[in-house]
Amino acid sequence: MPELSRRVFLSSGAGVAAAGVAVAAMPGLASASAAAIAPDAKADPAMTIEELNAAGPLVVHVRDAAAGVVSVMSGEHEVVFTDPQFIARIVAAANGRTPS
Amino acid sequence: MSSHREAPEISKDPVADSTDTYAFVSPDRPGFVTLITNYIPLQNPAGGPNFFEFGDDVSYKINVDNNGDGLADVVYEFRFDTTVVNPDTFLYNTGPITSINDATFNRRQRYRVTRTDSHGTTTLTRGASCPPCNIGPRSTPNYSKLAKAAVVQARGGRKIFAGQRLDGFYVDLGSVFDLLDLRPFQNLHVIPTPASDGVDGLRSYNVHTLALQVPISDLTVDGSTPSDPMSATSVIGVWASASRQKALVRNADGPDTSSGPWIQVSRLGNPLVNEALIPMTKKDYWNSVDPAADDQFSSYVDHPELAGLIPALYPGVFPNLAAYTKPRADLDAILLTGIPAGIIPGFQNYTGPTKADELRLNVAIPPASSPNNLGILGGDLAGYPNGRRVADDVFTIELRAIAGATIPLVDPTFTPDGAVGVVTDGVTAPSNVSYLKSFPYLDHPKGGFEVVPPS
Repeated sequence: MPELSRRVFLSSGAGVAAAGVAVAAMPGLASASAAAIAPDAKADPAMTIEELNAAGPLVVHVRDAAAGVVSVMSGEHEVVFTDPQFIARIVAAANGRTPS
Repeated sequence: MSSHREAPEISKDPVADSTDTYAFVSPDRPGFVTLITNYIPLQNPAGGPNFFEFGDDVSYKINVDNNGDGLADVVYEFRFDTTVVNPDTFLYNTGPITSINDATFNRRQRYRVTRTDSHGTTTLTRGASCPPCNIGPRSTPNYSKLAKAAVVQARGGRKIFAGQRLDGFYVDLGSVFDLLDLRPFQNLHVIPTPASDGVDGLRSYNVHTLALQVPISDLTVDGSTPSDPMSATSVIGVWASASRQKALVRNADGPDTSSGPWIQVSRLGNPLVNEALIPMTKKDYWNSVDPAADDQFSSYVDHPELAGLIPALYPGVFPNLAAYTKPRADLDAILLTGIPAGIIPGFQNYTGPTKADELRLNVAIPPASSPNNLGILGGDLAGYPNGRRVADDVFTIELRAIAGATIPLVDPTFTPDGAVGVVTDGVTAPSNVSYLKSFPYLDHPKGGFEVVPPS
């Protein structure tokens, strides 16, 4: 599997990604509230760099890509949501393709 | 054993592996209950230079159920923080450690303890110090002084301790894991050898202990200090648990990232339940759930594998046990629901029909003036399975119970085999443990310098 670079992740438009059963973590993803990562959401253009930094390290876990379910772990919390388009971008990144 | 390395996955994570849980009315302070749980099994005292310590990334809990639903109503949580005084040395201590705040104590742990109930969370202590591990006469020259200084005297007479102790549990590990050999009776084993004395397999091994001493009223459902043993409010259920965060990412260029909710990886109420009754493929799952979910495991209590193995491994010695095919209502009561009133005169520790592995303590039973380490089996209502004291011989108690000693409590038609009253692993008291007479009761750990490895 091609190495997933920070640039690939950031260029996905959603910040951090994990593919298949892999787990990845890095700072800077938007707040892991359900509202901030609702289906079809793009990165919130109104979010400030301070808000992004305050999110701390996040871990995104896609246990079953076909089911389209994503979990985001932040601090002591986990938010689970469904976003097939987001997962498609993650899978593309995992396969070394530039996510659309 | 008891619960040392009892499940495949947790055996690879000793920092989160609970080994024993104790709950008893304090013999020297009868208005207080002592709760103890141990972690990091089978510590060789000489195991340096990175000596044993709690996990900063582990949430340790002592849980109390006081309404019989198998869920925690009172939770004490311990969280640790490790600091290094001098980052430029490999030494655990840079000289003799003469106090727990000595600058020579290079790698040290501090901790906080919180108590959570339906009213919220309160902090019992923060910044409390663990004593160092017992290394030897040059490094930890007055260990009892260090340990005493590490006992936190908290509000309302509460006491707290976290640190290394000598394991108080005793059993012949080497024989019982060799196809349930019991050395005093091994001439009767299906693979016989001459009978011999038992060997304490935990002799001189240390553990890491979390201990609390709190008023009885901190634990009961109505905040009372009950005096009637037959009252339901007199019974509490206790178990320990350890949890890790759901995700761990190892970062090559910095600290690891732990994130997500806490996932329980270890649990311990009654000794030996997960170890000796639950099948291997379900042990780690068992560790991950609350006692409230234990009904799904009740078939392993009602029809214990060991009850079939004992007659097979000792042919002709346990014919009545071999012929007994009914569900083991005695074990169900002892381990999963508590013993109802009417079975043992003047005693009950029944918490209701919810099947849950909890160490059930009737706090209205006063401490025994002359404790019998066979507990209730020895006529001592203040001992296991009414809670568990540090010296209780829980292996012999449970061995005899599984072998049929307690079936007549619920089934008068059953006559225990003659061997049941004497069967033992031959280790009926610890070989080199002298328990303390006061909190935290478990003895000071053995030092690395003084312990000679077995030949």
